[in-house]
This record gives sequence, C-alpha cells and structure tokens, in this order.
Amino acid sequence: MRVTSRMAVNTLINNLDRSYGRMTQYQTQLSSGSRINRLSDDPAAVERTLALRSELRNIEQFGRNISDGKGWLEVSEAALDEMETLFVEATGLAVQGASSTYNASQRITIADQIDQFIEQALSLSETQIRGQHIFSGTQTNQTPYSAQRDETGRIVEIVANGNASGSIERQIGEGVIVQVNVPGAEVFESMGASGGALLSTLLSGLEAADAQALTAAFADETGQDVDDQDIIGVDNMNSILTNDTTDSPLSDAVISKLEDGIEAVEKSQTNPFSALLDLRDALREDDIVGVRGTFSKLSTVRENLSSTRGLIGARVNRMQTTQHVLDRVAVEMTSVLTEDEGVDLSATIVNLTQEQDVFQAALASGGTIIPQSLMDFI
Amino acid sequence: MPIRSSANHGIEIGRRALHAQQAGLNATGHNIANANTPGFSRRAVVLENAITGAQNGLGTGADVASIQRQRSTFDDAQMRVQQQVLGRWQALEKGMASIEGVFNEPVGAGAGEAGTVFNEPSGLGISGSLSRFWNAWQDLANMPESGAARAAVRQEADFLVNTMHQYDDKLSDIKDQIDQSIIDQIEEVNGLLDQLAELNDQLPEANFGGIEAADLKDRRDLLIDQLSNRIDVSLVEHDNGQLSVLVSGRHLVEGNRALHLEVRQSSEDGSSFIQVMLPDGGGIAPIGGGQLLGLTELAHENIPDFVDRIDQMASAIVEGVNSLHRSGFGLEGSTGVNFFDSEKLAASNIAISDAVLSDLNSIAASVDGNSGDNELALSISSLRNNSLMREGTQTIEGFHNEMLGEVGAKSREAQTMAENNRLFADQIENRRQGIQGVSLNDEASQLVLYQRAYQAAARTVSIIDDLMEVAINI
Repeated sequence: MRVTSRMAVNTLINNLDRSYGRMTQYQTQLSSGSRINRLSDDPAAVERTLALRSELRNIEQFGRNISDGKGWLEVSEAALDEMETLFVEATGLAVQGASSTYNASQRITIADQIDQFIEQALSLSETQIRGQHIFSGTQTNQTPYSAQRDETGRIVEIVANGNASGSIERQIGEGVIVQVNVPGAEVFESMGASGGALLSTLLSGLEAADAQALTAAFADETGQDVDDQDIIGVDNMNSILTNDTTDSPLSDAVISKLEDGIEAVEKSQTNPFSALLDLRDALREDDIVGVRGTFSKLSTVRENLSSTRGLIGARVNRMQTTQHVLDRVAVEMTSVLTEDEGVDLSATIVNLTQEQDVFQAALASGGTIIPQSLMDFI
Repeated sequence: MPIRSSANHGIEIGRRALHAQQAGLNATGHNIANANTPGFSRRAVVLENAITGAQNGLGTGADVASIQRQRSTFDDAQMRVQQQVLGRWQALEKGMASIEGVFNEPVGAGAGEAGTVFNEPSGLGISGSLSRFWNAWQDLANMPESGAARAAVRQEADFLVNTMHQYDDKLSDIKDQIDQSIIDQIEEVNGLLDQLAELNDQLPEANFGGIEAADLKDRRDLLIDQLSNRIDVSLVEHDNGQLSVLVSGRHLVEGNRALHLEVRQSSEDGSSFIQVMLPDGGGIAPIGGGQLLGLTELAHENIPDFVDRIDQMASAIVEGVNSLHRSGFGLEGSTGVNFFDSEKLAASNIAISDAVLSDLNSIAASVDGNSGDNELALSISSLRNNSLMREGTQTIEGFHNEMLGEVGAKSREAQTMAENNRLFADQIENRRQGIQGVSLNDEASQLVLYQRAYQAAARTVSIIDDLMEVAINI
C-alpha cells in the first residue's frame, strides 16, 4: 500500500493527541487526589460513593443527636439521684417520728424539716435543660407541677399543670428512636400496686350467680374473654358501676366488692409529693399510726425512683454503645471511600512519566521522518 | 520494396513525445502543488503509443490517452457512512459532557470532604443540599422550641430550593445552546446543498468535451464528506456526471436545484421545541445520522428526561414534606401550614411557602401541640428513607444517585463510541489516502522520469534537425 506524507502526518497528529489526552488525565488525577473527577470517569463508582458520602453525613448527624440525648438523660438521672437521697433521709425522719420516745413538739420540728423536703422535691421536678423543663413531658415550656399554699405559705397540695406524660425522642440510627426524657407522670404521679386488682380477688366470697354476673360485666367492658388471673383496672371497675342498669342490676354484694376494690387500689396509690405531705400532716397531728402508715409509701417511691434510674442508665449505655459503633462504621466507610475514589499516587506518577516518554519519542521521530523526501536529493 | 523514412516522420515523433512528457510534467506539477489540498485525488497520466499517421508499421510516438483521477470509490462510500455515525457520537459526546458538568457534585475532592461537607458554603449539588435539609430537621428535633433551629431549617430549605433552580437553569441553558447548534448546522447543511447544486450545474461532462472534470469532482466529494458528518445523505449518480443528493430520504439536490431544510420552533410547556422540517411541507425530517441526529436526540430525549427527573424529585419533596407538615403544630399553635408552596412542583419554581417565609414560628415540629414535642420534625427528617419515588419503590436519594450514574454512563458511552469511530474514520482515511494521496517521493521520481524523457525527445528533434541540415546542404 502506498504511504503518503499526509498519512504519516495524520497518524502522528492523532497519536500525539491521544497521548497528550492521557497525560492531561493523569495530571488531573494527581492534582485532585481523586480518580473520579467527572461522572463519566467511573459511573458505577459514582453511585457507590454518593451513597457512602450520604451515609457519612447521616452518621455525623446521629452523633450530634446522641450527644444531645445523653445530656438529657444525664441531667434527669442527676435529679432523680438527689430525689432518692431525699427520700432516704425522709424515711429516716419518718422512723424517728414514729418512735414513741418523741413528743408532739418534736414531731412538729420533724414536720418542718419534711416541709423543706417537699419544697426541694418540687424544685427538683422543675429541673431544666437550656430553659426547657425536663419532667414536663412535651410541655417543656411550663413547670410540671405547682403548689397550692395556705395563708402561712405552707404547701397544702401539689397539682399537675397539664399533661406531663409526653415522650421526647432522639433518632440515633436508621429507624432507631430512643426516648430521652423521663415524663413527670412516671416519677411524680400515681404509682404503687398496679392500678387494679386481680379478678380472682374480687370474685372470692361471691356467690356463683354474682361471680358470673361480675365476670360477664368485665368481659363486656373489655370486649374480650377474661379469666381469673386478669387484672381488672380501677377505670373498668368505675365504669362497671356507672353502667349498672336497672334491667339486670348487679347485686349489692358485687357492688360492695367493687367499691372495696376501688378503695384498696386508691389507698395503695401514692406519689412522692403525697407521700411527703401525708408524712408531714401525720407528724403535725401527732398521729404515730399515720406516720407508720407512710413507711410503705416512702419505700414504694424509692423503689420507683431506683428502677427509673436503672432505666435511664440502660439508655445511656445504649447511646454510648451506638456512638462507638457509629464511630467505627464511619472509619470503615471513609477508608472504603478513599480506596474507591482516591488515586493510587505511585501508579499514576509512573504512568504519567511513561506517557511523557512516549510523547517525546513520538515528537522526535515525527520531527526526523516527516521532513524527509526524495525532493531533497534530486 | 525499400522502406523510405521521412524526416518529417521523425519530427512528428519528437513533437508528440515532447507533448506527452510535458503532459506528464504538468500532471506531476499539479499533484505536487496540491499535495496538501484536502480532498485532492492525484492525477496519473496514461500514455499510449500514437497510431495515426503510422508509416511502415511505425507509429508516431506517444500520446496522452487520458489523465486519470486516482480515487477509491469504495473507501469514499465507506467514509460517508462512517462520517454519519461519527457525527452523531461527536454531537452526543459534546452534549453529554456539558450535561455531566451540571450534575458534577464535588465527587473528586477526596474522602475528607465528607466530614466537612456541612461547613461547605457552596458548590454542593442536590445530594449534599438534601442531606443538609434533612439534617436541619433533626437539629430542630433536638431543640423543638428553638427559633434558631427553625431559622436553620428555613435556611437549608432555601439552599435546597436554589440548588434545584440552578440545575434547571443550567440544563435549560444547555438545551438553548443545542437548539442554536441545530439551527447553525441546518444553515451549514443548506449552504453545502447550494454549493453541490452549483457544482452539478458546472459538472456535466458535455461541458468539458466529454472529459471528466476531475477537480470539480474532488471538490464535490469533499462537500459530501462534510455533509455526511452533519446529516444522513445518500447519493444517486447520473451518467452525465451529475449527482442527486438525498437527505433523510428526500431528494434535496436535483440537477442544479437545491431545496433547503427548515427549522420549526414551537413552544411546549414554556420551553422551546425545535424540529427539523423537510421543505415544501414535507413534514418532520426523519434524520438518520450525523451531528443533527445526535443534537436532536439530546434536545428531544435526553435533556427533557433529566429535567423531568429533577422535577419529579422536586414534587416528591414538596408533597412529602407538606403532607406531614400540615398535620403538625408550630410554636404558636399554627397548624395546616404548608412548608413549601404547594402550587410549585417543578425544579424550576419550587419555593418555600409564604407562611413560612413570613413567620418562622409557623414551622411545625410538634404532633401534640406542645412546644417540646419533636415527633413531626423526626418524621419529616425520616422522609429521606421513605420510598417516595417511582410509585413507592425508591427513595429520593436512590433516584438521584441512579440518575447521576446514568448521566455518567451515557457520557462515557458517548466518549468511547466517539473515540472508536474516530479511529475507524482515521483508518478509512488512511486507506483512501493510500490511493488518492500525493506522495512527494513518487512525484519526485516521476519528475526525473519525465524530465529525462523530455530531454531525450528534445535531443532526437535536435539531431533530426541536424540531419535535415546536412541533407539540404548537399
């Protein structure tokens, strides 16, 4: 085949072009540190790395959420710790007050100390983080409880401001939500034996017909089948009484069982404020029996505080573990990202050098060959 | 019978020889002069022994039988086909490179960027700004009573909205540029068709006394190569040397008349739509190759597809966030408020609602109405994991990443195909040049041959002249 000078020139130009293009590519990779500078450099890797980067941003956010949530939990825990200490001391004072060696005026003195404890408990319930009340559930802009006082300034009763039962949550992972607050309702409101009684307890001593009637009424209430071991709640008991119709009235025996049951439940219910108030009132009235009666209430409150603190501790641990896992995952992902995207410096530099050599050789050979022709010799 | 040779016969032989070698020198000179002319096919002189006026069985020297144009018609036909394919991929390569530039998130900045991306002031794409938006809701969930957290949410929403506008604007700009390229190319095509018609006028061999008009044909072949790169052509050659040119199946050059392709501009959904039309109401031109095919593909299929996809993302974001946000409560009890303007569902016009723009407190974080509740903020930020796209089968992020992967893949395909086809075209060109190209070495040796033959022929004339002188002076 004939080879003309044009062909030689065209071939040289095309090859120089390609070589130069490759050199530029290597240069770009070296200066950016990344193998992928445009989407078309490696489309499959682009999808992978975009997803990885997004994950890393998520992990960073979760880290922020965890540290915020831990703050809440730790403040709550500290407040409850103080409450528990308070109640340990209150129990000590209650034991003193119940002792027959103390007289009425000494009991009044103890009662005054208990007054201070009540103020302290109230103030602990108002604990805040960054201006938000941590025990108010989701009504963080108001205190959960307020006191009603008599003309001497002494607290008579403590009532709730609204509903302190909402939960506040933080997301610490994909689909992982953790509650970070302790709703006031769980610490400062009714606690004690489950708010109800075993059905079997209520049924004992009733005649067969009455027992059946009561069971049937309970089943109606819940809309399910019931058995002896089910717990019939105070609300259910109350509503059975209200729904008592004249068509098939409940017998007096059943009614009195229900009323006794309701009373027993209400008696066993207590809360930190009412326990302290009952103690103080009994002390002021020089009522040793009453004072003794508060022992179980105080211990119920302490048990609840203790178990709540345990719950908080478990949550804090969970958050810390999650944080550690997230940290490790972030490190792994970053290294995968670097491997995928990052340029292999040594290999690229070698390639670039090689390409430069090729380029120069092409230029030199072109310079030698192309100008030559027979015209020089004839 | 004795053979008598006349001196005139000798002079005649010499004369013809001089003409023949001169023709050879002229042809060689023409070749050398056009060594670098694009599209030139070298000439080869074909000599034959002259028979007219033969005496005693001896002819009268050499004659030029013809001056042939060395051309490989096979390679020419191949080149035309190849140019159509190459042109399409060239246009696609350029177009996709621009589109790719729009979507280029800072992917090349190394892994360290991921950790500091939140502090980047700008240069983030949709992926980055979406992440920031969802994370702002998480920060609001951590402080649902805070005005500052709400301001941050609105700020990130603003950033997201602007990013989407930018994408739409840039794609729109690229489309405008491509539309303009189409118009420019059609003008060039029409210009080439005009030139071909003119050549057709000059070409018929009757004009040149039956001799092939080689130079005009060279010019014509060059024009056709250029035309093939732009649009699909086919040719019908006539006996008189003229050529009919068909473009997209329609005769556009017939004899010395050329018809022009037209451009029709219409408006669809506020964006312009360009169509290439055959002349005389012939309808839409069914372009089958060349740059115009690539350009119309970009303008009619690829770009509208990508714009549609970011529009889908915008409307999913607006509707997803709004439907949750309406059910939530703001700081002062406001509810039923849209976060984004619910009428603006495209990437070009997505906007924050007036209510939120005028009052930060209307940003809802709470589900139960209390300021400390953050359920709504948490659920809005979880939208990132919800399958809001493709009828509930893909997340927004997955959809976006898939789109970017496709942009990259298409661009890469165009680059590879363009490069491959360039290589093919180069090979065909080399083969062609092998036949039609001028080699200075060849021409140099021809020069020597013709020059010496000329000198020798001149010498014979001079010697015969001397002989005649001797005869006269007897």
